[in-house]
Amino acid sequence: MATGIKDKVAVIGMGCTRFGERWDVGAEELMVEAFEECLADAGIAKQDIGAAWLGTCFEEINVGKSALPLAISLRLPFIPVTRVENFCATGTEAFRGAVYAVASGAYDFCLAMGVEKLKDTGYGGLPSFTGSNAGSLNWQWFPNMTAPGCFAQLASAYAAKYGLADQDLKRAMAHVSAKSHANGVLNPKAHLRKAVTAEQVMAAPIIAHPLGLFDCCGVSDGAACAIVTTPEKARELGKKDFVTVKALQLALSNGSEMGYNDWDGEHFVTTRKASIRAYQEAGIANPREAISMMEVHDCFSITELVTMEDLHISAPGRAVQDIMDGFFDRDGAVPCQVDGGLKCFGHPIGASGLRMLYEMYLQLHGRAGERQLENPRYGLTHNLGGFPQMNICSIAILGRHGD
Amino acid sequence: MLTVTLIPESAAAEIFAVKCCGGALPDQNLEIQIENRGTASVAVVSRIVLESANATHTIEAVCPAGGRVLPPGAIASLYTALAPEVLARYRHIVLFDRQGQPYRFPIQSRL
Repeated sequence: MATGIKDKVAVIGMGCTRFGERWDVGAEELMVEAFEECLADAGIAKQDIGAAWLGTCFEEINVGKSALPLAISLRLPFIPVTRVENFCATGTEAFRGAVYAVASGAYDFCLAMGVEKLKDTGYGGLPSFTGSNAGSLNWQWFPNMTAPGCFAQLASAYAAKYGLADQDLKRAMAHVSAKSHANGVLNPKAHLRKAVTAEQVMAAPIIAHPLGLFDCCGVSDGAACAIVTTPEKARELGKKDFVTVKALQLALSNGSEMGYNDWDGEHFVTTRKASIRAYQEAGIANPREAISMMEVHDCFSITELVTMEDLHISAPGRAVQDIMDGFFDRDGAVPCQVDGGLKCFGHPIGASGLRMLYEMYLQLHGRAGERQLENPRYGLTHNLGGFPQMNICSIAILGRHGD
Repeated sequence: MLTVTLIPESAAAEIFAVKCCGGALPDQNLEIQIENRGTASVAVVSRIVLESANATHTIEAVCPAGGRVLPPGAIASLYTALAPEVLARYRHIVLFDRQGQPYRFPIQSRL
């Protein structure tokens, strides 16, 4: 009988670049920058790594196809390297590959690397689904669809279901963004490091009503990585109070949301299902009490708001109240986006999931500097790739071994 | 009734530069935050005039280009590139609605 991943794999090293408009380097240098920090942190030699996973989404505009860019950039010793892509869950997908490879007993040490270099296109957003290089089928799959437009509909549906006034939802979303920017000020690796007020967020130009400019995350360049091993190997290396994976779950839409028969457009079916499985895997009965901190996919402020309910942290319809009560602020009961989130880091797709895990890892080791929380126990990360009606949700929970 | 808050070195500048069209909106450092505390909607156009005792300065390059519509209770901002020391030379900022009606606000008391 399957017993899940809890405490079978230890994270012994992590690295993360400064995110931003990294005109000074290519994707290769970003990977090297993250890897050097990670390898030094792990305290092993590069030759000890048995296999590696590379997560990158838009390979056409940064690293190129195959997993060779990772093998070549890091001069890995002719080991198996696999490239993975799963929309915005790509970074966590790379982590999942490495974790399961160690858990299987196939390798002692594995590397998961996520990287994306998006700013070289000169465009403020993600590469388009439409345009001359989109092919003929995309027009049928995604007619007139934009990410802000789809997530704005999520906001409208949520407001309609719970009878929220437009200004009340706007103010809660503004609190989400202002809170993340306040956290990002404290993070030297964040892209945007200036505080904004809730009033500034609410006053910003509308992108897709009710989402304004500050409700939308930007794009950026960055890389993050992790080295994982077994708890036994971690002990052999002299690691104490090391971090282990408590849960690792993935849920993908199957098309039922797009049928709109059972789904009213105001929540993420995948997040609800993946989070329940993650809590079961980690042995968590009451996530609102047990989870100490979170990094969730705040591609838009409304995504974070709705996700608080889909993760079963806030009761249905209660996320706005929790947000306005400061429940998810850095000094709140369950701090969310302690590192600044996608709002401050931007979203280099392949790197984001591992960047989130990096913050949880630092926090659990007490190495988060000015952002350090008091004695966190379980850290949850959440990625959502795609759109409300069709997406990939990955959830990871980290904690100290044996806790 | 409109109220105005001026934010001379707004964090919005950095965010505009990153998120909007690959840096096509640089240096939007002056944020003009407007709140409608009245009972009727006001449509503010993207044009401001700065006034001192002996000079006026009209700025047409105001973002967003289409102006802002403020329903009662709403808050909305206009943005432009203006050095704080230039702003400090003026005593009033004047906004206009679509009918051309001016709304004049003191500057120094807001900074």
